[in-house]
Amino acid sequence: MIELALILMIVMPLFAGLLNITIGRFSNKTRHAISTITTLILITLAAAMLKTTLEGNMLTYGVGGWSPPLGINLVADSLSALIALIISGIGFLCVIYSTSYMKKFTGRPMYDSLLMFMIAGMNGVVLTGDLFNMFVFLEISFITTYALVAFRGGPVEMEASFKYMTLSMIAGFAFLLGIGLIYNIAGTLNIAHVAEMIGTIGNMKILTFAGISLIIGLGLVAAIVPLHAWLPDAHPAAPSPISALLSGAAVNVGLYGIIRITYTMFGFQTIGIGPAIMTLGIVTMIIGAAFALVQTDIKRLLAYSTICGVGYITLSLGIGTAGGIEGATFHIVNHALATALLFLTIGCVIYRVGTREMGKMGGLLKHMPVEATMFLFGGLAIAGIPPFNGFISKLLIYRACFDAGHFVPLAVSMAVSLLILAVYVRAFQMIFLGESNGRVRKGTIPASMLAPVLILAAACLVIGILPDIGLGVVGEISKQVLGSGVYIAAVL
Amino acid sequence: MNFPYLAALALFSVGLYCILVKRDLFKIIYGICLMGYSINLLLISLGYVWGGTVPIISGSSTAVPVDPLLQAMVITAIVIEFAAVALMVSVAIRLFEQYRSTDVKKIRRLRG
Repeated sequence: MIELALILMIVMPLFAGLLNITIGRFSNKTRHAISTITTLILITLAAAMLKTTLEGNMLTYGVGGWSPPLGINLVADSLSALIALIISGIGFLCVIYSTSYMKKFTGRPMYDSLLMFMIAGMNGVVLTGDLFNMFVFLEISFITTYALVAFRGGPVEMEASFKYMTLSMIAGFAFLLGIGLIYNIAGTLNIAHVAEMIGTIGNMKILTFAGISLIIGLGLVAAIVPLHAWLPDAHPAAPSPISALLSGAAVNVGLYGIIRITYTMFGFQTIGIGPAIMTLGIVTMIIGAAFALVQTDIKRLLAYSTICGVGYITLSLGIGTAGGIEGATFHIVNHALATALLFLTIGCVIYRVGTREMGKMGGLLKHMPVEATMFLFGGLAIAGIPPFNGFISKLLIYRACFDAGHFVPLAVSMAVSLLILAVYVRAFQMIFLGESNGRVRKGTIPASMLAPVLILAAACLVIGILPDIGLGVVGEISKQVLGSGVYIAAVL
Repeated sequence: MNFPYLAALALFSVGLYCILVKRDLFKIIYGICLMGYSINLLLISLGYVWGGTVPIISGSSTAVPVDPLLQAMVITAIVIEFAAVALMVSVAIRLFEQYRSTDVKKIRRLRG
């Protein structure tokens, strides 16, 4: 029965999105109820899938009763289930947060249904076992994101959306090109089937080119550095809950795709791009941290800090050892929680202050002590200061670098960690300390905005204090990712 | 035999040139369309068999059919491109309304 969860994870948010623009059109309450209940069910399903897959059982579902490799199939191993849980969890918190945050906006039925479609698209990318199907779901999440980024309708939002569209269309074409080439040389589109055939393919040049094309497509979603240009524009332009979902969940979808393509489909040693991925990771983290240090717009700063976090995960993926994958997956979880926390907290601040410029804030500590504490929590978690969760995963990444003998990346990532700490100390000082300039509007933050922030902060702290549960989960995940034979056997 | 591949490469280059060099929003959109067509052309020609028949199994026929899967993929890709390009054009129109210009140089409030 649990196999049905795979298809429900995709169909339910699609259906909820349709309900939101039809029967939910005239009543905010109906729409909120639909979205909240759907995302709650998604969390339950994803948690159940994670529990089953961690016991070593792969979940597969042949869509329409066609069995792979002919039909399209959905697969979940523990990695997909974990990312699906992150997407649904952050999606749920964003839905709750949006009920108050989006009050002053028009067109809220469209917003609510686009949010559901975006969750459906991302779940689809994570759960599908077919390359072309992955492309389709990727485009679903792209197209909904274009509209959500431009949602406020001002010139800056439109410009950010246009930039994002141009880049992600090109990335989508690269992904499609890679799919075409893979089909031409392997004769199949099923990820597990391609993985099985990969040993028999002689033409390594085309294989490597196809792999790079696929990674370009996914690297844009993940905002790895030469492809990151859209992110610092799109995040500030989007409403805060969408920024949280973009940097907490969408980025991880891209990283998931890269893990699936490089480890499961090609086998990490086959195409030998480990050093290239590590280099990209290092460049990404340096550029992210360096640009974050000079930003004056707080959401741009958070966007660059997201890029820096992606750099850590990419570096860790490039190492290619079990420790590297453990570090990467754990950092995916922690980074998602911490950036979502920061974006939602800053959403609260913007709600009260009405500006994103840090220079116009200041002295907010006595007006908003809870938000200040939460911002500090998130900043310290990202910088990797104990007892927060970021410390544990960064430690795993350092240890993986050390064990594999990559000392330069180790030194660089430690230095970048300090830089990111400086970024958040500076931001905290500019926003919450210093002279108040009396821009704060009267009124309080609604409970529906504060609750998601508190939940995320509690999650950051709990994972930081009790890392053993998380360590057990990522240990099993790295075993399943490296032992791709089980995945292939389960699908075919 | 290689003509479709060369045509796809030429279309791709023209599209990339449009995106990189042209300053007009709509010319950038044309460039993206051209890149999309080139990928579609490439996919179709990868699946094409010279002298092949339509991919419908009809009992006695022994002729080699062309690959229908790539054609199905291209149709899906065309639909996706259609949706995305329609959205791009509508955003470009909104940008034009707000800036009274379609020149990318004049639409530049965001810094790198």
